[in-house]
Amino acid sequence: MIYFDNAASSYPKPAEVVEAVRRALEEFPANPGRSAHELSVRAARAINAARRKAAGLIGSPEPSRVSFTRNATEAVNVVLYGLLRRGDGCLVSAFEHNAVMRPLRHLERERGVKVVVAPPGKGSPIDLDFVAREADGARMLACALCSNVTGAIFPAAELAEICRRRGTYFLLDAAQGLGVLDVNVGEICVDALAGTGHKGLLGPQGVGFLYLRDPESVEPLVRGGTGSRSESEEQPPFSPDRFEAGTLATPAICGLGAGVDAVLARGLTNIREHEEKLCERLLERLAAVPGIVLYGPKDPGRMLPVLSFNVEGLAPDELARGLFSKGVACRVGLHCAPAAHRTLGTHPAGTVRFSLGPSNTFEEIDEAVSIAAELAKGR
Amino acid sequence: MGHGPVKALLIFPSTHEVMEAEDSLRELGVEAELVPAPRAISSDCGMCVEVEMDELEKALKAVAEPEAVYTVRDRTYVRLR
Repeated sequence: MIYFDNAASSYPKPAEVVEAVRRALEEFPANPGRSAHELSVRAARAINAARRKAAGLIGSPEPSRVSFTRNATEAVNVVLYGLLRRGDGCLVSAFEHNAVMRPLRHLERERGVKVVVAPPGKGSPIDLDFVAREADGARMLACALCSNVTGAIFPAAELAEICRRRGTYFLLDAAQGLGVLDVNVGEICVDALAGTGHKGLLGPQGVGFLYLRDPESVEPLVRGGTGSRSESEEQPPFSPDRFEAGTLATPAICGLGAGVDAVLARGLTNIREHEEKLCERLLERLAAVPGIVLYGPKDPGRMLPVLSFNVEGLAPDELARGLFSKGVACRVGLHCAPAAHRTLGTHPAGTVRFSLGPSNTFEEIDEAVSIAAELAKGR
Repeated sequence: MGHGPVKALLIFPSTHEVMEAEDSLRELGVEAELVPAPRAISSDCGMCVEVEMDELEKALKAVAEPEAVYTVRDRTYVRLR
């Protein structure tokens, strides 16, 4: 099998990740932070260690500003529902995932939130002049670090600077790109960052995290037991407890921590360099296939190796079916981002997406592209 | 008061801070034990950090500001701060 579906979930997971999950289940499967007995304490220690790793990865000056969630979607929801009030404006890019768009469309109906979509700019997935003009009237800018459809890297530092100057809250959806790109919330002014464990961080599914510059300014989405302030029937105001009601997913969190370690041991720069080379090869090989249409920046320096394409005269689902039958694991359709496909003009049929990860090779690219070329020939 | 050793209890609001304190104290070489926060001084269902009384000053320099600090001997608690 050739696995080109890393933007959905990365494969393979490093042995250290599997081992960390196994250890958590076998050695300390108790409830973290609820008691002072040995197993509970070990679970709490393991979560704290993972929290420090996640915080270190994104440059959070204080680990307690990072709380664990089920996934990046939940982290995004916390910020949107916890901050946007009646009549607030929210700017988004034209490539946002439904993790951002669905809660915003709901908030549009329920709270009259005004959603403003920033179009792509020249050579950029977002028009920075448009953002600068509209930021004054917007409470928040919610934007992806990278598009999950085209791999395009958004100018996060420039967006952060515009938001800082205008006093606009900046939510960065880093589901795609963490573990490859260096994102430092201490250096660029990010108010909130949503991350997930199972993509670039090579961890298990079921855990994500939320960084908040000012945790107490955001209302939690879920309230409940935290193991702290048990005398009170009010949610603790401090982070991370504020956002971590209910028992945490200790095994998944340990896996996330091990994933961060694995990524840092390989080195972000090395991973990025390798992925740029993969991207270059993929673009070059795919572009040579007759009838192929490539979408997105088509420039390895400005994208992750996440590439959407179609073959003229062949429905995306037919092409994908052919690829699956030859052992190429990829994704077809709208990739939970109808907005991105409307922007690309590929709505509603969608595209086939190859998304590569740090373990993929040139040989896999050559083989997968030759399979795609055969399918294109037979159309 | 009885004749047991005098200990100090450091109370923190969250498990996260207890864990951070434990790490800092370990790095400093201060022996710290995580114990259930006694009902008498806190209704917290979690834990607090216990150190030897003569290590308290050193410990306080290494950790985030606790919510409260108690001395304890034979289950008699006196709030210090």
